[in-house]
Amino acid sequence: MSNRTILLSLFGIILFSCSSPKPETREIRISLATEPPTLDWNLATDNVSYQILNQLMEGLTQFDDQMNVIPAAAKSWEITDDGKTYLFHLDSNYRWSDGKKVIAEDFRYSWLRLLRPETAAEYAYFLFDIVGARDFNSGRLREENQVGIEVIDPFTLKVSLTKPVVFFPAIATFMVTYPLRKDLFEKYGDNWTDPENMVTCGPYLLKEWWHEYRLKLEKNPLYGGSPRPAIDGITVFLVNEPATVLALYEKGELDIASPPPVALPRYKNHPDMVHAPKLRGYYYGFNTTKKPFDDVRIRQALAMALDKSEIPNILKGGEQPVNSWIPPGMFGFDESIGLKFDPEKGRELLEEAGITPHPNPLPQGERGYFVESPLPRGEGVRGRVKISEITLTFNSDPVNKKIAEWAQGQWKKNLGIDVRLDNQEWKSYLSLLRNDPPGLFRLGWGADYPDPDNFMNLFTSASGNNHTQWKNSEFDRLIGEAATQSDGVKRKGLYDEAQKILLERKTVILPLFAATQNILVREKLRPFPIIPMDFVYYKRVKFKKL
Amino acid sequence: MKNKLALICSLFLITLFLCALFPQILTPHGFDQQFPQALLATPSAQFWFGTDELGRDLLARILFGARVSLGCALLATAIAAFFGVLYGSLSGFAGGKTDQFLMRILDILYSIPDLLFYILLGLFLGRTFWGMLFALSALGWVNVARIVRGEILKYKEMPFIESAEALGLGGFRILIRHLIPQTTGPLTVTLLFQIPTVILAESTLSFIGLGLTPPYSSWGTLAHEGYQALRFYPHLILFPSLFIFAVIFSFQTIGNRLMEKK
Amino acid sequence: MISSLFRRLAISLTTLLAVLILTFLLLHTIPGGPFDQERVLPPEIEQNLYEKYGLQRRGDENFWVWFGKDLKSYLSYLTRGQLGPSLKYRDRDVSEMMARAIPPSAQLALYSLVLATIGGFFLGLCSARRPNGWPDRLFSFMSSLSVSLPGFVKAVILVMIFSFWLVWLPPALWEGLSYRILPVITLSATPTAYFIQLTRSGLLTQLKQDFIRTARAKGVPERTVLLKHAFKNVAQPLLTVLGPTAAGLITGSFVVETIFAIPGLGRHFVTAIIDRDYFLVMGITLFYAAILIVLNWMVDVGYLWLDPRMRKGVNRG
Repeated sequence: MSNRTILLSLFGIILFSCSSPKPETREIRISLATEPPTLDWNLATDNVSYQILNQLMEGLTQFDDQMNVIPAAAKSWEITDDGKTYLFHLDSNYRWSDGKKVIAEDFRYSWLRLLRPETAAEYAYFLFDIVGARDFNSGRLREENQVGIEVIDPFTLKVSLTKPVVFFPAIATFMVTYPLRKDLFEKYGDNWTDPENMVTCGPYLLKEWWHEYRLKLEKNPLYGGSPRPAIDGITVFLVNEPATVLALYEKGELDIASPPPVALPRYKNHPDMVHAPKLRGYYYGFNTTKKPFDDVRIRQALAMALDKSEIPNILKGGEQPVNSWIPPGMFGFDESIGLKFDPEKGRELLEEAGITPHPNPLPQGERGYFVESPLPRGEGVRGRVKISEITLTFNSDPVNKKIAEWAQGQWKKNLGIDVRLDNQEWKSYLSLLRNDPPGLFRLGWGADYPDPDNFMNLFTSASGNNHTQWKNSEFDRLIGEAATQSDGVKRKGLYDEAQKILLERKTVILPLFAATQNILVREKLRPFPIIPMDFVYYKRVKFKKL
Repeated sequence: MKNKLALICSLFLITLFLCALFPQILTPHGFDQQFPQALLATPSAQFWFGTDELGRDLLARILFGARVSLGCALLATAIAAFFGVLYGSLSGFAGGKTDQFLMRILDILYSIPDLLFYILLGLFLGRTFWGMLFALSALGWVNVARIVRGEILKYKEMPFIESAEALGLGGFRILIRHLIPQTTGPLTVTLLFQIPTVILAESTLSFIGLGLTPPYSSWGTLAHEGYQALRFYPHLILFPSLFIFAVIFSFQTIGNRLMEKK
Repeated sequence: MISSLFRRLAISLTTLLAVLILTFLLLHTIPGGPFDQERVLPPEIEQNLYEKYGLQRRGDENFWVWFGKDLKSYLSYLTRGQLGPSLKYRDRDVSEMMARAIPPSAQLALYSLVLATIGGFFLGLCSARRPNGWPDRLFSFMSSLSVSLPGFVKAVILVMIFSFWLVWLPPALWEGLSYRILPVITLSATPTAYFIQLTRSGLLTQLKQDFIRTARAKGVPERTVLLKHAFKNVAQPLLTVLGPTAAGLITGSFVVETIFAIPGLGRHFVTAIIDRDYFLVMGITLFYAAILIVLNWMVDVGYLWLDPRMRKGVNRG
């Protein structure tokens, strides 16, 4: 009898699980890898939060499909005073979801909150080009009227900058600059992002937030921008495991998914596969103060010994190998800049640096083959440094691991040197980079705004993210000049020159490839409005009736 | 029948140890040698178990992984045995307040989730073989200590110990010569079951992304690498899992056999 | 009786306190802080962040001074009856996060425990009835398999079979009843295997005993012999492992929760360590420790219930 009960109940389960026909609604189900750390847009810093906030809210400006800055809540803007003053004219069609109009004061309130030290917003520095902003954030300036954010009338916002930053409208697309309602924030306090309290002005509204599991978004009927969304509802599941995401897509539980790298070859010719570039660079950096990387020839030799044309075969996601740093798809990209694959030259440079290959190569398969080199005796550092003591440090991740193991093989094959690998867990790695950057390390950089300044500024002397310890006044000057240069040709010239210093003459970093986006999208949602930033404007997704 | 199975298992383990020490017997390829022409190849005459994403021979990687996984498991178990016996026998033999105090400490360690310990120690000690070994052996002795203490308490009251005391033998001598040997039976079994725990804990660490530094790999890291590719390249997960299963199965069969003999 | 209860409570509280300090210490020894991220923050911003949570950035000061300051801030949250704010999820409280994450984990653990106990006991019974018969061999092979495969391998095999080949069950998520089956099976596989072995070996030793032989000789039916007489003697070792097993289920759910995308506590636990979300790690650790202590109590009470002889012993001690 017990057997029969089991069988019956199993059968019931099967029936139950099969009997969920989905009614034809304009709703889609997508996934994100983690819980958004916060939906408080002043405090948010990460991409997951951005992907949600970007649907709920809109700032002064937005990107079009070609990454040009176009109007959003600001219908137009004027630049005066040699580019140091911006006047944003707001679009009076924009309304909050409780019916009130979006006014300039909402922006001023939000931006001042972003800058206030008590807010402790990590991305406050996005507005540091505004007059007084930096001092206000550090508490040196208490008077908020002295910060260069002024309300001229309810629909005009005046922003005064310390220097003519040409990409300021692009910064105004970013989530931390979205407007905020003072009355609501003061009413609900820290709970203002709860679905029942949250008032937004973007194409979607937050209906449900089941932490760590799912968010439900619904079309905002009061949305005043364009285009009006075609999809009525979006359910976002928070699924951390890439293999699970793929399984869910295949079982029809998700409409969009990015497959794990190892599955990519299987989907190469799949009709659902959508490829697009991503403004994200991937590089190995040298700590130029550490032996043996204080010798530029060794850095150059390592850079020349990688046959990057093998990368697409290994990563299989359509990654584009690059020698230059400004990524393809961004203004200033020039693929002719950077050191090319040239193992001969690399070996010569090593010899020049005093490193001679081991006279008797050890038998094949034997490990520990290394060369010992008397390095140039500069600045009081003497003695011999074993090339074999080069360690490549990176953070654990399947892609990083694969690339590191590949590079290790390349350096061994092309230069005859053994490089050790050291993988670190993410936070340990960050702490290491900050306190004592390893000689050879991996990092990536994704665009916050699609301007080369965002990529090149990284390696200036003042940048907190420049872990190479490299300081070059010529480079700094070029980048500073380019940030305020409005003439396109001259600007590109400045960046070309700076990239040549960074990559060829000084070889401070070794760019490897430009990342790509590979996602599976159901036919009803194609063509998919994918842009090279790491997010999608779901209001632009068309919904095809099949 | 049971004897035969235990025998086969022992033979398998011995063969595996030999192959792990001398992988050249089975495969000419190095564990980190890359064959760019044969990425993700399925099993063939050249690569018996196929290759991974970088075109490395999976058989060679499994055999080298055996050094890490088995080495880690055996050493961690040995460490657990040493400290567990030391702690447990002292506690049980001393009795009274000392025993109570030592047991309190065990209770505290017992109340911390294993995984927390493994991860924190793993992060603290680093991603090398030794770091991982110590992280994994940091908790194993707790269990051993409990069992040893229990056994010692049981035998302490037995007539043969009392007579030894009557003969005027010193306490320490009784402990070493008469009490600890009594615990070998349950101890062996506990230790044999400890080995699988270590292997599995190591694979969980790999799943979290805290496995060994490449290009070295353990069975746990290999299985985890294969896990995402299950539906596309099943050989990547099949062979490492098979080895994990075979080894744990063997140790358990031998353990059970020993238990039944008692 | 009351005084012994009181004593036990005091001991449990000291244990909790020791766990707290030890874990907090371990958290501070590992490299990396809660606010480290890919983009390095300007120092003034970072200072604001640490101040907001009453924490210190590890400067040049002595480790113990630094640790002491942080511990003091944490204890001040605890004495106010709070578990503190999360350091990663900017506007959320640890207690609120845990309150949301506990129900799915608890459900998972409870279902698994019930399945493992009942399933393990009955399969073990089948095995013991005819040692070395085919059910015995099958179950023994299955339990070896489930004990010796890593959790993620088991999960992925089950998904493969039940969602892709048979198309019976969904591969992940936490919606209806059918979504709970695969995670529960995955999680209960190991304890079921242990329970099968325990029941089987316990029964086999018991069946050789005199009183069983007497019962059989008296003509008591085999089923009654197995269930009535032998059961009582198998229950005790089962009960002993029940405590640690239940605890293992709660903490061991990390892999299952990750693979099946279940919004539970196990997932939080690991990601909180990776994120260096000190307060969240502490909250969850304390919760686990408390659960373990309570479980051990319950097991002790269970002993008393099963074996009245032990009551005297306990009263004496």
